[in-house]
Amino acid sequence: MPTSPASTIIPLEDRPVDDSGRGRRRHVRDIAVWLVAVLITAYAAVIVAANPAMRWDSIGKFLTAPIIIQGLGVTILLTVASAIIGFAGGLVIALMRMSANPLVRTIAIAYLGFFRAVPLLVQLLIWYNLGTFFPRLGIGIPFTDIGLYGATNDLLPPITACLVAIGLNQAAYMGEIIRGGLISVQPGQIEAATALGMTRTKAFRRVIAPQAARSIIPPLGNDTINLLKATSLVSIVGVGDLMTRAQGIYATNYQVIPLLIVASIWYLALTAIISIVQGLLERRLSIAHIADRNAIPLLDRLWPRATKRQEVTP
Amino acid sequence: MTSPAFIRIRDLTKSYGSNRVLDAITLDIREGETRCIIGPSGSGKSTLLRCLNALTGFDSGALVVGSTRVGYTDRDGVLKPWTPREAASFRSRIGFVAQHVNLFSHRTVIENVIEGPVHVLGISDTVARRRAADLLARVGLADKHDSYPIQLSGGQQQRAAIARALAMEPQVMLFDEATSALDPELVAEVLNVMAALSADGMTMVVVTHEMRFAQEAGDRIAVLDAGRLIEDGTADEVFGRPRHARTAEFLKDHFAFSRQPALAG
Repeated sequence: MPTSPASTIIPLEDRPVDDSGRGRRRHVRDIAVWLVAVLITAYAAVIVAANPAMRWDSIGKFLTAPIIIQGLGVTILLTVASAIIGFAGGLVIALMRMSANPLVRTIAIAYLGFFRAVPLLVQLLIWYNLGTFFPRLGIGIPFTDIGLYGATNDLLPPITACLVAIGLNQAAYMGEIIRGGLISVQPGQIEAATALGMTRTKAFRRVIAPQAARSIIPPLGNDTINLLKATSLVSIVGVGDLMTRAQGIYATNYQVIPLLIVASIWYLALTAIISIVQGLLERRLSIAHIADRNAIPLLDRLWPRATKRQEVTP
Repeated sequence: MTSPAFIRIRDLTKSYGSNRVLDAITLDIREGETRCIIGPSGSGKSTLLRCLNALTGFDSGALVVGSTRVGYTDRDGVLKPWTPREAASFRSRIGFVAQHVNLFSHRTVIENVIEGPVHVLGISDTVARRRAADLLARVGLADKHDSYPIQLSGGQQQRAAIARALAMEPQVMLFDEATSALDPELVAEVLNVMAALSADGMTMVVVTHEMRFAQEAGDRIAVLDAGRLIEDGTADEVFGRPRHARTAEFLKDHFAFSRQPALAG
């Protein structure tokens, strides 16, 4: 047995504890942090607002100008449509990536490899300029003229080209997000569904999908916000989204920063909406929230083990 | 044996690569019987159980549960392997309770219990709920209908899982070490429910490490070792006069450091 030289006996009896200093120190630190933050913000606000190039009147005027609102509509359309294409395509890619068939899996991996490797801007330009490479597009029997064909530029007007480019790119990222959600479902849950006599499809619909949804929502929100901002890239091919319109205006009136602020305000607003929707979905799906509804104390929600211990045997 | 066996296992063999997990198992289980299966870890108990409800397949041998040849359908005298749908339909008639509690975590207790009847058997929600309420009362969870699994103790979760399996009105109930993952003080409440079920005449196959349960509730006890059935008899026979040296050794090891006092023998 190790005999420590420190044989001093530390008393166990209660002695007065003075931890008032701890709270005060934290208080002082908080105030200091707030003070610095307020000072920096105020300084930034003053130099921006006092800048003669800052035309507040322009911001107000253009924020709701019909041309900007039209651009906003195109941005929303591109975001929503690509999100739908991306989600549907992503689900297919995720399931293919998890397939037992090595060929199907390889196709999914190749898809992910290509669409995640090539910058979206490059993909956008490829689809936009497809007409210069394949003047005619269509479906038919290879090496014959039998089938339905049309001029590429008619079939793929700029907005459709953008939609295809962003949608397919989004599908690659969504595919990985959905796959992450699907593999997060406990194998025991799938076994339980199988043992209950559910077919694979039913188990997916009733058990796997609802549980995967829970872990998919946060990255999904994240990715949709990225998607929204990525649509501004279409301004490179002049598809008339919010960014294109803002650029078009400042190209004639030279009020670059004010119009970029107008665009920023709208992007900020749309991002806020996506964040709110994400938050609502998360609340709806989270078990913690469900537990909350049934009035489980905070501690037990953070540490469910505590609940289990208390509720031993009725 | 007077009444014909309900479950008939003949020369059932299964290998994972070169590892033979089930080696020519032959066993009969009668209707209404509670058959316990004991044996060391890795002896093939769980695999055998999973063969019984087609959660896993086997390499050779034959298995009949009730009037069903497991894994195959007789088409004009030729056995054709099951389609996924046929396998699912068979599983819906076999109750299964796993070691790790796997209630559907996104549904309440009662929703868990009605899930199978409503979405697999197509019973109406109202009827399913009424039956579920009876079953939950039977397993002592009458006041937990609207709780979510995370709000329950391990023992309560496992009792709910038993109710969920019973809601399918199964021909046989399979228990795969249903109490092994529970804290010691929660084991009894689950075993009591299982014992009551056994006393009610349910046909049960119970893989367990709970020797007292095997002794008291089990009509017969089968001992598996390294994929082989080395012993099969009543509790008195298996515990009192083990015929196989490995059985004696397993029982000795098991009771050497047990919470329970040594039993027979």
